[in-house]
Amino acid sequence: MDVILGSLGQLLSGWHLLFLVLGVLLGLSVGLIPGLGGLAGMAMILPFLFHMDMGTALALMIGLTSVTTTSDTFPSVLMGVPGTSGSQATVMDGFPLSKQGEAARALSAAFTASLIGGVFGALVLTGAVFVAKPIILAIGFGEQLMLVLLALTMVGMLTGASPIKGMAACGLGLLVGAVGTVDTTGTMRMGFELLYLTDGVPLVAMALGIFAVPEVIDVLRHRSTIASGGKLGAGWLQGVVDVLRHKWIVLRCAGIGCLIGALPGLGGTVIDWIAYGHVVQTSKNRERFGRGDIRGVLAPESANNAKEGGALIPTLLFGIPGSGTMVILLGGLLIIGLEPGPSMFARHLDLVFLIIWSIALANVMGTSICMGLARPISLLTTVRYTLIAPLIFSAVFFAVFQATRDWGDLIALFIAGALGVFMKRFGWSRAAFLLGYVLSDKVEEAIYQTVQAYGFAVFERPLVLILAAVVLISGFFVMRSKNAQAAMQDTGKNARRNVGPQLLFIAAMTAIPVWGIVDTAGRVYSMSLFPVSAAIFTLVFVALVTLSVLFKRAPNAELHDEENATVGRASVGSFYYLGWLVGLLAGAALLGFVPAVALFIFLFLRRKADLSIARAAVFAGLFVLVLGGFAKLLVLDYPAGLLQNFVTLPWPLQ
Amino acid sequence: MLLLAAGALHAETADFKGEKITLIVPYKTGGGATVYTRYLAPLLEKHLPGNPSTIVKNIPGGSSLKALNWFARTATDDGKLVSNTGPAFFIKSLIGEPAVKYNTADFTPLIASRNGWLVYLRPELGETTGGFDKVKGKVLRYGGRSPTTGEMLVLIGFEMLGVPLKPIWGLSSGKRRQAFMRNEIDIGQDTMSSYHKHVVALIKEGQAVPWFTVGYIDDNGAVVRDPMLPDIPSFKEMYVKVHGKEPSGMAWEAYKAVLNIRVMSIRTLIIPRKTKPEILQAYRVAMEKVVSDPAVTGEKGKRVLGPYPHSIGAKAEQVMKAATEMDPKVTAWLKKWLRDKYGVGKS
Repeated sequence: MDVILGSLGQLLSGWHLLFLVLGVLLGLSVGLIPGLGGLAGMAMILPFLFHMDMGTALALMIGLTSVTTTSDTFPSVLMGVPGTSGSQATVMDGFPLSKQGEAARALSAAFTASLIGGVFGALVLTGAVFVAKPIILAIGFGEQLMLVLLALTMVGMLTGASPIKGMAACGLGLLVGAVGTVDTTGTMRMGFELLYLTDGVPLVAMALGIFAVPEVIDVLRHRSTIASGGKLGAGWLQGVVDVLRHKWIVLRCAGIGCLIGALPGLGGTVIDWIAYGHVVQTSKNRERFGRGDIRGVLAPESANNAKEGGALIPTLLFGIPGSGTMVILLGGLLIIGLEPGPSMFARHLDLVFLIIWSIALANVMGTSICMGLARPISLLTTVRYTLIAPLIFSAVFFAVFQATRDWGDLIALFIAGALGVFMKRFGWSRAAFLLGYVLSDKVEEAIYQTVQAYGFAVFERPLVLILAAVVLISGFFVMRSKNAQAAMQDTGKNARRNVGPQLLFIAAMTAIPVWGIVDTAGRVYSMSLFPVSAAIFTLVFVALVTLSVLFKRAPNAELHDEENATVGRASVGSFYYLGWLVGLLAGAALLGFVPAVALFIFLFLRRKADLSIARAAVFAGLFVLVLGGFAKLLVLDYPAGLLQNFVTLPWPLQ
Repeated sequence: MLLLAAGALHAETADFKGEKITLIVPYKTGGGATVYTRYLAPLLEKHLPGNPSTIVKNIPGGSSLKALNWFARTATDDGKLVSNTGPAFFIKSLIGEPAVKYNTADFTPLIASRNGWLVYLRPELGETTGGFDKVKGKVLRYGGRSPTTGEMLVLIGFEMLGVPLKPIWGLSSGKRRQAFMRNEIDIGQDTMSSYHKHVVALIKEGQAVPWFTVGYIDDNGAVVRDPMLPDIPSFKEMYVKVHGKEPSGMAWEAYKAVLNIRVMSIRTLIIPRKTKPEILQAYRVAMEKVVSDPAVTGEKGKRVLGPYPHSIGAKAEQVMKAATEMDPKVTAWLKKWLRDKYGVGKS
């Protein structure tokens, strides 16, 4: 107890507090910018850590890593662009709420939930310091497999109106996730022998492509502002009331986030999806999920802040990072001379508590700041969208380029974006696809490791049996739950019209499982078993969808084309805006990334927003300066084009 | 006269005044390689003539091959581009991975840093340190990331000892240790830096028995005990104990080469061999000052860069030579063995 209070004293002493505030401010900033997160923030402070003493360095690092999942809510809710990989699921209901003019409410609800989640995580960490070790060590390969399967059942909650289409989408996600080098043999599969695909398709490219690009295009086509009529509705007080009303959901999801963050097997990127799936599964009236249900915002936001506390448990106890941010935190700890592991608990227990207190305080500070900003920043949803869209497109390309700093990142984003546009149009669940994608390697790994370690003897482990029962119960509820379906009309999006494009899309999607089989069948077992199984699974559901599309006469969930319902309303098609993106890529290939972005913003503002030449140039110029600033800060070179072969451009145009 | 001589000397030595040197890290930000390079960067600034500025740049992708291929293509003879490397630099080239577009012989090391490696066992096996009687004939449960990484070293070792393994792949070093603690694998292995953080406590609690170290190469090129763990037998002694004779043959040659890669040059900074002689000389001189700088020899330096002495100059060359110049017959043996035993490269 003395230790606990002693650390609190140290925390509140001048320097420590100052650096904690600094860390929080930096963390909020990087969380706010899509594609940057705790990792980029830590990369920025890394050079300074060498010269700092242990306490202040720790404050800076913890401040930074604790709040990135608080501010990342802004882009997720306001723009439909996941701010970090931890807030993908927030987009599901957060963005629809913004469109209904309830951005401020959604944000304040999200921040309050984040705060509760973060403090909850810190509390659990306090207790866990003493008891977590045996619990974590009880989770062997078999138990990890069950946890992964449990997560996979959540796909059932994310399928949208057509379960078979959702399952097919999940299968496609599993297959795309299987691209890359296989550990057992060190050989690549399904990657066309491209060096870029050695480590698979980056998550950022997938998440931003699948979610952000289609949303931006959709708003561009159908709306003039994000919020309907350009008005903001209920304010931030409503959001706090929402949290109080759904306090059990918030606490439950905080628990889920903390637990999954701490246990081996799943990792940080799926926590928001699991929390989201969980809240849909356990709610009675679920008609509004996906169309702007506040519970769909509370669940992932509370879980993803609680995760950081949870993920610190294995990081500190075993030196095993529980999330992406923890990987780099470990590096930072090494620099300042704090070596996680059993010896740290013996020698530096005070610092362990300093960490815990810092997390709690950082969460309070981060939430207060974001709360204050919620209302003014929400006003963005009432700004003419044609002014914002080119900036979002450019920001998304910048974000994805952080994945591997390769030309391939830009191309991967475009392909994923086009895929997302058509999945949205034809009613294929993007959430199910993405969950399949993030779970893919975990499913394969867990099955392989369990079979290698135990074979069927795995069912002799009591905890495996208990968890297997939980999986079955969850699966049962998923099967039983029927998504409420709006009545389908002959004139609506589910009508029997425009069948041709739908079949074309199905044919294109069939290519993925076929490629999986062609490329891996006949190779060694460890390389082919998973993709071939996933491909067969996918093909079965794709076939069911095809049959339904071809032969069902009445309107049905498999028949789905958003264009049917919107005919006459949109002046231009999705292809038009995808064309703009092709233009941006082509420009980057010719002029280099930064000049191309400047030109893109300028032309877009001139043509679509009717801005004067001077104003459009100022916008473009400012964005270039921001890009240039990041180039310095993160030591990065933007993709070069043909032009760079002949001239070297000055900063910030490089 | 003295002034004149000094002036003449000056004309021949390199001067980095106002220059910018870029240090490439072929992995994502964070992690040991970034920390290592960032720790050395200001020391290079301090000791290179003219005190150039340095920037550390991470180029991740393709298991470090993207950066290394780019480095091989881009770096000129001006010494302004230096790259950090790890075992993958050597091993990917050794096993003939098609994506490798560089030739290891085209580079020369500025510094090569070491990290020893301990193999330990579950106590349930009842084996003693350096012992073999209890595990003889048993199939041991093995956990690792992939047979195509530096852990190939222990795999060759177990082949030579005649210990059959039941492998589980896909485990990073942390996950491997966790699986070991859960008694899901029999063999644990860690570098010397992790040893102090994690393994010492396990041994104290009776949860692990140190078995042998993979060994260390002394100044004369002989394989000896790890100087950080002088009480624990090396792999070579294990071999003698099991077979009653000194190790020799293809497997042993391969083992020694990978020992140079995995232990004697776990982290290096490399520069093109074609670098102008006076610039290379300036680097060599600077490196001598770097490794005797209190920031390297002190407590903090040992913690960040590892507790072992660092090889520079001719010694680093020697290590690199031993790591890269493998007899084609040995390479062929290694590739065939990896393929037959672990399916490496099988499509």
